[in-house]
Amino acid sequence: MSVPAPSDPRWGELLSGAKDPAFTALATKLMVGRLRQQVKQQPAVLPKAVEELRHYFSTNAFAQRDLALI
Amino acid sequence: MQNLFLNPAEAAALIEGGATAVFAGSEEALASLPRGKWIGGTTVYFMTESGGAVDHENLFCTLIAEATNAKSVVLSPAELARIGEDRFSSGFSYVLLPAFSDAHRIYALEGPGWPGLYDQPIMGWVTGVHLSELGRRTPKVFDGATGQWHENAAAVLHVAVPEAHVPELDIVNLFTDGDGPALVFPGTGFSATECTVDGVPGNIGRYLLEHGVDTRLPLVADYAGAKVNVSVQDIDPETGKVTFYAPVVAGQSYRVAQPIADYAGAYASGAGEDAEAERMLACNCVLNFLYANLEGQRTGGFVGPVTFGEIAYILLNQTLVRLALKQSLPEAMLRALAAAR
Repeated sequence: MSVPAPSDPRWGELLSGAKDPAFTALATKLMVGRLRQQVKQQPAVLPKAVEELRHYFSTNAFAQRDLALI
Repeated sequence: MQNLFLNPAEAAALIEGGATAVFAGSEEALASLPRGKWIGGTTVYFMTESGGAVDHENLFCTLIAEATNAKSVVLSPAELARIGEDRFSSGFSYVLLPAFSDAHRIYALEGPGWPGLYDQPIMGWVTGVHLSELGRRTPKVFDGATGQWHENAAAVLHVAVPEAHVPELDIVNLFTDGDGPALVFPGTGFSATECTVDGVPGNIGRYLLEHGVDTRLPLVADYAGAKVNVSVQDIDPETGKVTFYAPVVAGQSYRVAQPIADYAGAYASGAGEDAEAERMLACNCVLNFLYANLEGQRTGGFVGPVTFGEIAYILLNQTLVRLALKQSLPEAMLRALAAAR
């Protein structure tokens, strides 16, 4: 599955918590939880957070099931 | 993987036979081991097959027979951010940190943001001492490659496993966030005085004391479905400053955990009777050991060291951490499957 583009609105929904999928990998949960808190504190870091998540999903085969949920 | 509770002579024989292993035991027991492919950390608290135990003589050992390669690394606090650099392309890393050290503090505070931290399982624990020796003796980690001990560095064992063995890292947390107010802290750290209580400026120590909160209950945050605990170490009744066993994170919303009526019973059922539990790497928190009176009691088949903090990528409190090597399809079948898609 391809990783959505940085401008895809799903990233914003995920990191705002508006969308809250039931992830399976502990790594995904901890990463998304940490990035949500950072974005809540400083909304300007959203693009950097999206890039970090895109890198995570494109690097790690074990996270593909979670990628399909966003 | 195989878990064993061994005397030092038995442990030495395994090491000299070329085993790749991680050990937990007293400083004296670990110092007696020969050099080899192992790392170890100090604790005298264990969950064994017969239940929780305090033991200064014997060692808890997890043999990693699936390892095709292993490399131990000692990282100073300034080098810790490099933890992912030496790992193998397929495998996991086991990390030990001495409690109360700068290495412990820096891993807890800065680790969650290190690049690549979540790309491969990192499991481990914070080493300790017998509670009667707190302040008189320092927790330590041992590097089996050199036989050296360290009290302010991480000992890391990077383990390579065949691609057919997929390392799966997970946690068992008894606690869920309670229905009390949301507690939010202005800064990240191992202590806090100011906080907001449901959005109203307040003082965390006074809140906990005035409401008679049972401080055996951790503060719980929700990380996209993972419940992450921060346990209370101490409250200064004068200032309301609270010291924690793991950092609270600025802006993160915490709630005091839901009380548990039968702590020991809930623990046994929360951990479950996993048939594979005895073949997993696992560790459990000394606070669970104390508060649930686990000495002499079993925790659903999980065995391992009882620790001063648990690591599943990040530092956790009052949480059982477990890592299993799951058998995936043989590589040839995986390739055939990929080609067919």
